[in-house]
Parts: sequence; C-alpha cells; structure tokens
Amino acid sequence: MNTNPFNITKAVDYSDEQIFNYWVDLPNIGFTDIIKPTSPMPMIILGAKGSGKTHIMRYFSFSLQSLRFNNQDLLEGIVKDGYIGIYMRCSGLNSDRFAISGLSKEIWKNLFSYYMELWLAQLLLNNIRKMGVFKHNSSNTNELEITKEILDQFDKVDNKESIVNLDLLASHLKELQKKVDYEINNYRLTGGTKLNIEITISPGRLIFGLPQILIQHIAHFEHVKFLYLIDEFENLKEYQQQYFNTLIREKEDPVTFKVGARLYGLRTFKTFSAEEELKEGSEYESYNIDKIFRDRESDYNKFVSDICIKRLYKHGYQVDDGDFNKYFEKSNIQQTNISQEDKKYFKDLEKRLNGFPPKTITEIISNLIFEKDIILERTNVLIFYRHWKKGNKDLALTSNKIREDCKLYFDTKNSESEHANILEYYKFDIIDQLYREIYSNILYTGFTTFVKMSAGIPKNLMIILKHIFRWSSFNNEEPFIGNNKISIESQINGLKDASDWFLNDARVICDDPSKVRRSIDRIGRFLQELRFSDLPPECSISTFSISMSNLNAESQKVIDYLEQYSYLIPVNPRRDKNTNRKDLTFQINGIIAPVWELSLQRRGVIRLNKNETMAIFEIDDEKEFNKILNSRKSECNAPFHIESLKLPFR
Amino acid sequence: MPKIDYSIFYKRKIESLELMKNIHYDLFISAYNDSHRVKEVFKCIQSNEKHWLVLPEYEYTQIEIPDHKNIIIFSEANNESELREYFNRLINDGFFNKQVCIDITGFMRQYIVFLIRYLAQLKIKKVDLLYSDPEMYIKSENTSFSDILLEVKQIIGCEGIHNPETNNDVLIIGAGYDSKRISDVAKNKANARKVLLFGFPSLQPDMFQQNILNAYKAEESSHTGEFDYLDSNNSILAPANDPFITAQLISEYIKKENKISSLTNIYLCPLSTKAQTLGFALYYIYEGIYEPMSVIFPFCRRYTRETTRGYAKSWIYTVEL
Repeated sequence: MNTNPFNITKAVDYSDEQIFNYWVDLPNIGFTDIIKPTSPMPMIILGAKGSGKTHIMRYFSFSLQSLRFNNQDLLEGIVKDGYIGIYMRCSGLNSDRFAISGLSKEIWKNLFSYYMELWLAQLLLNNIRKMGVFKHNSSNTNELEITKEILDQFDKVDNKESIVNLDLLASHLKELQKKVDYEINNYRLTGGTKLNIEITISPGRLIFGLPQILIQHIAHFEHVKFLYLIDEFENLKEYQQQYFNTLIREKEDPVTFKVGARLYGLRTFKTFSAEEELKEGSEYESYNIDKIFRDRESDYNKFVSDICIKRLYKHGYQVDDGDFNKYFEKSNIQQTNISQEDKKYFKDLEKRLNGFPPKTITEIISNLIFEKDIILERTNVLIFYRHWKKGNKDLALTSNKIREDCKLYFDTKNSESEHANILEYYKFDIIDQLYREIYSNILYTGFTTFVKMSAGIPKNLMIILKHIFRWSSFNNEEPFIGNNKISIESQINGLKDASDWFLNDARVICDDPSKVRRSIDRIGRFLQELRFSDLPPECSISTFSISMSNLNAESQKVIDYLEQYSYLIPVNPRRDKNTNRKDLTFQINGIIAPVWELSLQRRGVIRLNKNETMAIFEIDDEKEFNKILNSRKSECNAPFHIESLKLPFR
Repeated sequence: MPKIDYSIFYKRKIESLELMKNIHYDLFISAYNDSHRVKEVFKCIQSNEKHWLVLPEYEYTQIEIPDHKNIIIFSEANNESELREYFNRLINDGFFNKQVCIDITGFMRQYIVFLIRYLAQLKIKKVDLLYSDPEMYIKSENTSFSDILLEVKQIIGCEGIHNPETNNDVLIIGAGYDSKRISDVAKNKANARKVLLFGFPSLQPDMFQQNILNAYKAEESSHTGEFDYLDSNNSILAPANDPFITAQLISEYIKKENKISSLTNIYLCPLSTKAQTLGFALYYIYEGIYEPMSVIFPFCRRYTRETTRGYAKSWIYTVEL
C-alpha cells in the first residue's frame, strides 16, 4: 500500500525539518504579514484546534530560522529576519504544580514568575549559544563581559566568579530551575508546610534584561526584536495568564510577545497592575486564524490546495495542480434510472393527500410527473407544496398549472418563472432530497466540497483526506495516480470516519459534557428535519440564529462551549427585523454536517424562537424537545397545520 | 542494559483462592470495590490485621460500605493527603517492620503510583504487592472504566525536573481498554511523540486483540502517521501481569531512544493493567525522579466499581524500594 500523504494531521507531529519542508504560505497577505514578527505590538493568535497556530508559530521560531538559513550565515539571517523567535510551549511547564493548597496565591505568583524568568532565559540562551555569536568573524564581543552583566541582574549568585561564559550561565540557570522543581515536588509529596526557595531575581530582569544586554554588546542585534512565542496558552491557570498579560503590558524594547491560544484558551485579560485589563488595540492586537481563513475564502482554497499538492509531490505523486476535483468520482442524479413506483416523493405526496378523492390524487401526481428531468420533477413537487401551504383550494388545478409551467421552463429556461426562482435557491436542496429519497444518503463528494467542510480549519481537511485516502487504498483504487478516481464509496466512508473522529475528539471538558453533546445533536436534528420537510422554510439549511434575549446563563454556557470546541462556527450576526438587535448566528461545522445531512452552503438562516432555544440548549427532557420540534415541523409539512402548543415551561 | 536489573525482583503466582488461604501476613491492605476477585482475596488471605480502604472515587454510600472492623474511609477525591496520613500512621505503628501486603487490584492507577512513590519517600525497604487477574472484562473491549475527565496532570511526587526545550518529548502510554483516556492524555501532551505500551502476553488470550481495537479508537490523538502499533519505534510489548519486565522494557526503550537522539522530556502514563502500572511506578522511582520525566494521569470524577468477572489467579510482587 502507498504511504498516505495525509497521515500527519497535526503540526506537533511534524519535526522542525518537516515544518520547513512542507511550509506553504497563505496567498496574497501571507503569514509574515499577519504575524508581523518584527512589530513591537504584542499579539494574541487565537484559533480552533487544527487551525494551524502551532504550525505558524513554530515557523517563526529560532529552530526554523536556523533551517531557513542552513546554508548561509545564521547570524546574518537573523539580522535579515529582524527577529529571534523564542518558542515556548506552555504544556511543557506542567503548570498545575504551581497551584496547590497550603500556600497563598501570592507565593505561587512569585514562584511562577521566578520560574518563568529561569525558563524563558534558558530558551533564549540556548538559541544564542547555537547561533555561534562569539565565533562569528565580525564578532568583537566579549562573552565574559556579557555573562557578568547578565549575572549582575541577580540579587545574589553563588560562585559567581566561576561562571565565565554563556554555557556555564545556562547550567547555572538550569540548576536554579532544578532547585525550584525539587522543592515544589518535595513539598507536594510530603505535605510540607514551607518551601525552601530563595528568589534571587526580580520579575523581568532576565526576560527583558537579557535581550537588552545582548543588543548593547552584539552589534548584529542592534535592530533585532526578541520575539517570545508563547504557544498553548490555554494550558496556563488564570493567575499564570495574568502574569503573561502583565509582561505584555510592561514589555520593554527589544522584546515582544506573540501568544497562541485555543478559542477557549483565554481565561483572563487582567494584569497584576491593579487587576487592570489589557487593552486591545493599544496594548495588543488579536487575530483569529480560522476566521481569517473563512473570511478569505479564495486564499484559503488556494492555500489548502497548495498544502495537498506539496504533500502529494513529496510522496511521489505527480498530481495536476489545476484541478483536484478530477481525482474524485462524481455522481449525476440525472442519470439515475428509477421507476415511478419507487419515487418516494410521490409516495409521500400520496399519503399527504389522503382524504382527497382517489381520482384527484391520481390527477395531481400525474400532472407533476416529468420524466425528462428528475430535478424538474422534484421541483414540481416542491412548488405544489408551496401552493398548498399558500391555501390554494383547487389543488388539481394547481398541479395542472405546475405541469404547464414545467414544460415551458424546460423548453425556454425562462428566468422569470417560478421554476427558475425555486431552482436558483433550492437546487442543491432538491438534489440532496433526491439522493436521500433514492439512495438513502446525500452525497458530499469532491475536493471543493471537502475544503468547504473544513470550515477554515486545515487539520479537518487533512483528516477528511487521510480517511478517504485510506479507504481508497483499501479498495485498491490507487488514488491520485493517472486518471484514477476515488470512488464515491471511499469518499462516503472516509467522511464518516472523519465526522466520527471529530465528535469523539472534540469532547468538551466541563461539568456536564453530555448536555453539550446533546445540544449539538438536537440542533443538528432540528435543522435536519426542517431541511428535509415538504417545504423547507429556508434554502441550504445549516445555519441558525438566536436572539441574545432568549438565552439564559445556562444555555449561553452551552453555546459558548459549542463555539469554543468548533462544533458551531460563528458567522456574521444578522439583525432582528423587529427589535433591530443583532442575533447570534452559527453554522454547524462542515465536518459534522453529514451527520445530520445538512448543507455546506450558508444561505438560509433558521431563526430559533425562545422555546426552541430552550428546548435545544437548556432543558433535559427529550419529550419536550420532540414536542417543540414537531410543532415547527408541522409548519413545514403538508397539510401545514400550525398547532398552538401549550408549553410546560415559561 | 538498563541502570537497574529489574529481573532480580521476586514474584510468585497463586493459582487459586484455595491456595490463597495458605498465605500469611501481619497486615493486609486492600481497596474496596465490587470485584469478586478483590473481595474473595480479602476473605481468603491470612493476616493478623486486614484493612479495607474505601476510596471516594467509587462513591460508596454509608450503607454500601462493608461491615468490617478496620474500614478506612477516604473522603476527598484526588487528594493524596489522607493516603499519606494513613501510611504515616502505619509507620508509626511499626507495621512496616513486619510483613505487609497491599492488594493493588482495587486501587485506581493514580493511587498505585502515588503509594509506591510515597513508600519510597518514606524509605520503606520492602513491601509485597498483590494483583489478581480477572477471567474477563464485563463488556470486553467496550468496558467503561471511568466517567468525566476532570484534568490531566502530574501525579504528586512524580513531577520530575523538566526541560524548557520540548522538541524531542516522548509520552509512553500504557494502553488499556479506556480509549477516551488514552486520547485525553495524548491530547494533553500533544507535542510529545507517542509510544504505546501494550500488554503482551495479555492477561487472557483475547485481551490483546481488544486492547489494539481500543487503541485504534484513540489513533488520531495518540499516534503519528499510519496505524502501525506493532512498530518497535512506536510501541512496546510487555507482559500484562509483570511489573518488573514492564519497567525493564520501558528502561531499555528510553535508553535506546536517548542514544538515537537525546529525549528532551519524558512523560509516562499508566492506563493499562495495574501490574503494568506498578511497573511504570517502579521505573519512575528507580530512574526518573531527578530526570526530565514525570508520570501524568487523566484524573476523572468517578470510576466504575466493577469492570470484570471472575477470578483467574493472583500474583504477589515483592518490591524493594
């Protein structure tokens, strides 16, 4: 079996060399322009899991800079870049050690602050040592002098005289860090009452002081920024984030910060400066990576196509740059051969017309049949329901008019006709309806579809392709070779695996994860029932809106979780016609849209009323939810009875 | 060769509950749960004093707690201080100068690691640990062991001395049936390369296959690249009921990896059999305390009281600390 080019789906699984070799930039305004590594303005880079934050941040790290300037003079390269990227993963700190009972918050704050001085200074020093600054031809800097000056930042250093170069200084910092680790570990294990740690340096003296000493002594660094890349910020406790917020507020030249966090990862904007909050715009700027991808749709499409091409090339596949869709089998509903008796939409219509004289039923169905074009035939049925709902009394006459209109539209393609109007908005829904009614499955196929499903999260696309490739190989289709096409079966199976993965992986960590899971299932089912009703209230259903005033604290919390874990993708809010207030609007993430057979387009928006909002996001009782759902369904299914429900709550 | 030769440790097999009646200790400690094998061993083994520890994560109510003269009820979940006080008391009472056996079968894994670590800290020289194999898991590979995840964090006493550089971190997961927990811990140390340690030979012939099936469910987070668990770079096979060989194989694996490229940080997470959990703990105590190494664990709100059926046999491991 061929190696799957989409096997690696996470930046963390890439080595530095692989990040370098597989790097693809966003077209037009690229990542360097977004991240602005030389800008003194700190930045918070937010993104859903899989959006590519880590990949991007690592690209600006010193390790990648070293690879970029591998065959050149590294120091000159750093000067050219204008920054040194000091990359730190917060998960490596195991920060929960700094928060246990028995000691005051103030003590932990001071210890954490001290520990971070040692930790970040070691990372920076390691980079400087690897750079070979003192071996550089043009270097006339004195390592001893720099070392002494750095040591002078400390209030106290044992055996100061013996530390005469940066290697020994790094060892000294390591020893100090070990001492803190050892004391904290021992304190926790034995349940001690006090910690024997002497804090020998004030906050910021190394984080800001070390770069300042380096630029004073090393001419090359004169215009270089020291860029602390703090990744996985969500792993820090609130007070620990507060510490970094304080560093951001009090940052000193030539230092700046870029902080990467998940959408739910920011616990606070407070600083230690009288608990004041960081101010966006003046003290930091923030970017949401997946939102950038979604907003710049065509750039994103090109970007992910380039990623795929690069991966395929690296694995030895000679793929056509122009059109990825050609590697995926397509289906054409028009080519389907199905007998009239097997057409579910006519069977359903017959049931709905129960009570009408049999002759009338036969006449109506006969009028709606249009064998030359199954999509137009299905459109006839939709238009018929539309007139039924409008209250047309003579349905046989209505069906006759539809028959005439259909013929006319087929011959003339008159864009003013009702058929043209319906097809403009509902064509994809009608096609999906047909697939569902004929094959029991709606089809999500083709590269363009998968890109849309990824909702601005490249990892989701890689996972979809990984599973599809796996199925395709299993089915001996030899994907991406010559004119081979990945079968519809492999695409469907791969997508199912990808959706399952997402639902399993995006488990929310909270007090009641089952409620969050139930809510996404309910909103999915709710939209599904409307989409596949006789007369869907909107076209391309997958998006809904909620009035803020209909949310209480509990339902707001559930929606927040669903958004933070990317089950729901926020879309630009739309304004409520009556109150002029903006509603919260969300689309179901494309990767799980197949679970409820939802559209990937974002056209119609289903507005949830107060009771529906509560039934989906708040109440536990499944019966009440079903009651509310049935009430909405009855508005969309013939005979279109609108029941007035007596609600058991509020 | 590893720094320690774990094969010198002594273990013995007790083939039946009948034979268990011939085993004698001064103190026998066990964690109470609904498992037949836990209760029966407690009943059969001979000891001058027997202690039932009731752990809060099982959520036993007062009326569910067995009627016994030495019941020690721990009240706060995920709080090691009560366990610490209990062992301090045993030391003060001189028990560790006598023959003590702890049945680890009913203990949650995080407790096993902590208690071994704490006994080492107390400089207890030698203790017997007993583990009983089940005949089967109640729902085979679909057995549920724990519910809602609270947090993945280091086990107290097993935090190690970490390295700010993280470019060659490794996480060794003892891969048990609880695939959600494998996934939780793998996601917590997302940047670390994942190595799965499987029980082979397993406790029962079908269990290895079930183990692999479960690990596959956590594949996306716990693995890089193709699903190639039996690749010796990404997996370790260690006997499910042998803590000493488990420790030895972990030690050898890390030594081998360090030779190829120095590991920056090492994380261990025992989610497989309790015998292997003991192996993880022993390896950490002997080789990891002062290294950039820690034992991490997905702490959950509650644990299932009974996940197995029957009693197959018991093992007594004599651990020298």
